[in-house]
Amino acid sequence: MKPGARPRLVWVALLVLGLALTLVSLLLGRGGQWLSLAGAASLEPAVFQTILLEIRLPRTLLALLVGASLGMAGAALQGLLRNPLADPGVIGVSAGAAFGAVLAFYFGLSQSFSLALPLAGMAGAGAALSLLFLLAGRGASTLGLVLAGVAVSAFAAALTSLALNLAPSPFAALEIIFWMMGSLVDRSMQHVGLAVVPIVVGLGLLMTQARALDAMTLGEDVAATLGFRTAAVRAVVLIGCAAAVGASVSVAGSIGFVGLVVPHLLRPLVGHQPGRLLPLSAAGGGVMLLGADILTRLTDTGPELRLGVVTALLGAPFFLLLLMRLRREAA
Amino acid sequence: MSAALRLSQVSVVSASGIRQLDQVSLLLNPGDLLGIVGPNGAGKTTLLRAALDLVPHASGRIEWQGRELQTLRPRELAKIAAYVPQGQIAHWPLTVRKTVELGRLPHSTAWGNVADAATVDAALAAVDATAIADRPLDQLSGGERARVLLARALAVEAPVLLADEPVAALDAYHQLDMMERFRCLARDGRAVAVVLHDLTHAARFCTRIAMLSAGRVVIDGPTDEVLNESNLRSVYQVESLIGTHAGERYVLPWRRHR
Repeated sequence: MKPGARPRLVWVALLVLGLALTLVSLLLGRGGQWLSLAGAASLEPAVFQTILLEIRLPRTLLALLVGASLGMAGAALQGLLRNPLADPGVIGVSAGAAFGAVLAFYFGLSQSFSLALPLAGMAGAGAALSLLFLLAGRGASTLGLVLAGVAVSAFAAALTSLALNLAPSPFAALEIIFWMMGSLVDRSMQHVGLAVVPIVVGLGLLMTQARALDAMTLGEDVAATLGFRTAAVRAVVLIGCAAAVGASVSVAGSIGFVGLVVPHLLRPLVGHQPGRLLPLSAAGGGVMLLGADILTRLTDTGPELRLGVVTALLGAPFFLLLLMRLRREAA
Repeated sequence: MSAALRLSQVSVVSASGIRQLDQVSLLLNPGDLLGIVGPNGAGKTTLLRAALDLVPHASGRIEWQGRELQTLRPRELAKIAAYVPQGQIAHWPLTVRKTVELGRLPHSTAWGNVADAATVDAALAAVDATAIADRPLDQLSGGERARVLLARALAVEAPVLLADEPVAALDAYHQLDMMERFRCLARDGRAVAVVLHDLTHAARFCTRIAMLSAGRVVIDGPTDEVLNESNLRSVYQVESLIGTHAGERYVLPWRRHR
């Protein structure tokens, strides 16, 4: 296909796919059992309503919101760092959010009230972002930013390991490990309400930088001489990613590869333009994560298949293909 | 009318304390094709970057069209001066047209349409790139890419153009092609400054030369007065052959000065 030939068609395809998957997600339960209308007759209407509105709907909405966050944040960071291998994890906010949530587990806060976990996650994301700005400084170069992100990420991961190491019981450690694999099971509309504001604000902030990211295609000096304050662009992109990804990890755990793979798949369809890739990656991320979440429900025996495991299983082979293609291009 | 760009006693000191520019004064007027020459590390690139506020200057005064650099907002400066950096690369393989459209960004509103088709077409035509407008950047030859990146700068429609070693990676044909384009732009009334290593290009195409050495402008004046044996000997440490052909001068650095 010619580069950027049919962006409208891609949008329509993603929207149709998104609507279809939303319908499937609302009706499909654990072990591949459909919530059929015939079956609905035999259920109490209140039960039917509970299943649909209080179990399936929040799960579906969160899959779309979290997927959109990871997709757009990945696209924005790849544009900012001008590196196709960047993903939302590189700035360390995901690791920070995960550590925040793990602390809530560790001190038993997650038992005391249901939103303790996501709130602690967001606090962790905020702390990671502050640390990133502190390390990278105001006039940081792209390289400085990536290195600071790696440092923050490694430090948060080390603290998470420490919490696992010192976990009071093997069950507590197991609980933490399972949470970190990512899941949307048993999330309520309260979780949606908590995550939606930072996610929408974060994605909105990223969209304001679409033009600047386009200009960054020609490097930071040219972007600056096209009238963009590159330090401000960097700060807004980082804050936007931190808000959206921090909230996502806080409610859903760590979910890898969506932010890496989705922008990659969609980039050629918008003629490689970083700005136009942002909204499309949000749509693609939502669709992909909803699809992955539906896959987790297909097993009916044994422990629940974790969402982060599914995205990694799908994403890792793709990542290898990507590396091989990059190497071919470089050759 | 005020000069397109005026530097007065500008000094730039790097973070590690190295004085990269030392009390540099320079004038660039509309219609000038100013050649900025000098040995490696003389401060040519730093001069352009300081003028564009890409590096802060420690002291001195920089004025664009009579307005102090610090009083200009980035977007205002973007409309005055277009910049083609050294060894410029595009990080994503946009099409030629989309790349040139980036030059319209200083004129775009927050959500308005960025593509100003007529200007983009004119910029493409100015570098003879109309035929390759739909090709992605990564499928162009080096000469084509240099022309497209120049078109991107032209699409800004800025009265001043600063280019850092724009011909460094090109073959002889495309070097001459680019230099002729710069000459045309200056004759059309733009103020153009180009960092050059090839002294024959400087001698043939530039109207004025600023020769830098160790962060200072050593000599600044009409081309014929600057490019002579003794200046090349003292600044570049080379002995040169200087001759004329069809009324134009060529400069051939021959051997190291001993």
